[in-house]
Parts: sequence; structure tokens; C-alpha cells
Amino acid sequence: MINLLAYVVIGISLVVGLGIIGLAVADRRPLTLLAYGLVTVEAAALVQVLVAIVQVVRGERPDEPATFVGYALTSLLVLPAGAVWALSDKSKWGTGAAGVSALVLAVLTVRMLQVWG
Amino acid sequence: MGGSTSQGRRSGPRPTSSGPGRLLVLVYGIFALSATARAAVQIATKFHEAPLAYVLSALAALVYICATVGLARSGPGARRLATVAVTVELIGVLVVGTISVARPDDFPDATVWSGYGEGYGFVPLVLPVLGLLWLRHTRERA
Repeated sequence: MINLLAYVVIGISLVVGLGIIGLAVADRRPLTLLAYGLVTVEAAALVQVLVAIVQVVRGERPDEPATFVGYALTSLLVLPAGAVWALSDKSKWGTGAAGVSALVLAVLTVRMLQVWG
Repeated sequence: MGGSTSQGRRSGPRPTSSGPGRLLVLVYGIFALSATARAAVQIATKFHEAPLAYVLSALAALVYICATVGLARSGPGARRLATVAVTVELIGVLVVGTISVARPDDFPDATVWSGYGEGYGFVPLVLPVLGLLWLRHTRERA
């Protein structure tokens, strides 16, 4: 993994996640804005995993390969699955849950950095 | 998609998966996923190092899966499943948390519930309390 890229991913996840939670607290649900935010976070997760794949192809290895692969796959799936589940509830809690699923990517990225070594 | 709400607002138990429940189920789902993945990696790669801790990891994963499914679905069966799973979860985090603090040598490697879930920001300790409160809250007649 590239540390700087990971920090960018963490930053984007935190900003979008907390922003969405803020909208939820304000009981607002601007779906287009939410979609842009969530797609940005997912794109960041995807870039990060692709870069890690390139690094592995070039011969680098994570310290804990099995755990890293688990986290990498989870980092791609958690946001789409979480956001679909969350936004299918029309209350502000659903909106907030979508924000939480973006925050989870920040946690996963921290863990990915740790097990990469 | 998933819009199969039952006929309107009859008095009776409310679904556990809407409103705040939507967020609760999401968090439970994340724990189900991460506990399952963690237990699978531990058991597959280093089971002999700490068999007790890893069996507990797997048990915790099963409990989270049952709680997630129970809370996400509607009906008396799902509610019963969720109640049992969340209760076991609360007992589990208290017992494992206490033993892991009192006798750390028995837990050479961490489980989700070690130290009352301190490795996960104590969310594993708070979650079952919220789960039980939510189950009770939705049981009351609307």
C-alpha cells in the first residue's frame, strides 16, 4: 500500500461519512449529493485496491496476506451493500447509516495499513 | 427491492429493521462480517496457538450473524432469534471480558470480546445493550 494514498482514502471517507451524518442529523436527504459522495468514497476504495494489486504483481507482499485480502475485499463491498441497505429506509436513521458505512472504510483502511506492514 | 412492509399500522410489534433499527442492523452486519472473517483467518492459519480464543471468535461470529438476521427480518421467529442472540452476546462480552482481564494468560490472542471489546472501541459492550433496548422498544404497541 502507499501510505499517502491510504491517508487520502481515510480523509475522503471521514469527510463524506461525517458530512452525510450531519445531513441526517439535520433531517435532510439530498439523494444526488449523497450519491456523488458515496460514489467518490467507493472510487477511492477501488483505486486503493487496484494499486495494492499492482504492488503485489510487482513482487511486494503484505505481512499478513490472508487478512489483507479479506480486508481488501470487504473495503470494496461494505459501502455498496451498506448504502443500499441504509438508504432503503427513508428515515433520517437510514441516511445516517449510509454515512456510517462510509466511515467503516476509514477503519478498514487503517487496518489494511497495519496488516500490510 | 426490500419494501415488503406488512399491512399498515396495526397495533403489535413494530419491525426491528426500520428507523434506528436500520443503523443498528448495519452495525450488527459489520460485526458479523468482521468477526466471521477474523475467526476464519485465525482458525485457518494459526488454530494451535490459541484454540480457546479462536473457538470463542467463531462463536462470537455466529452470535453476530444470528443477531443481524433476527433484527433485519420481521416476525415472531426473527424476534426470538434476535432476543436470544443479543442476550448471549451480552453474557458473552461480560464473561469473556471479565476472564480476559482476570486471567490474560488464557487469552494469548484477542477475541472480539476481550477486555469488554476494547479493541473495537467498546462497541461490542454497548451494542447488546442497545439491541435489547431496541427489541423492548419495538415490542410495545404503537
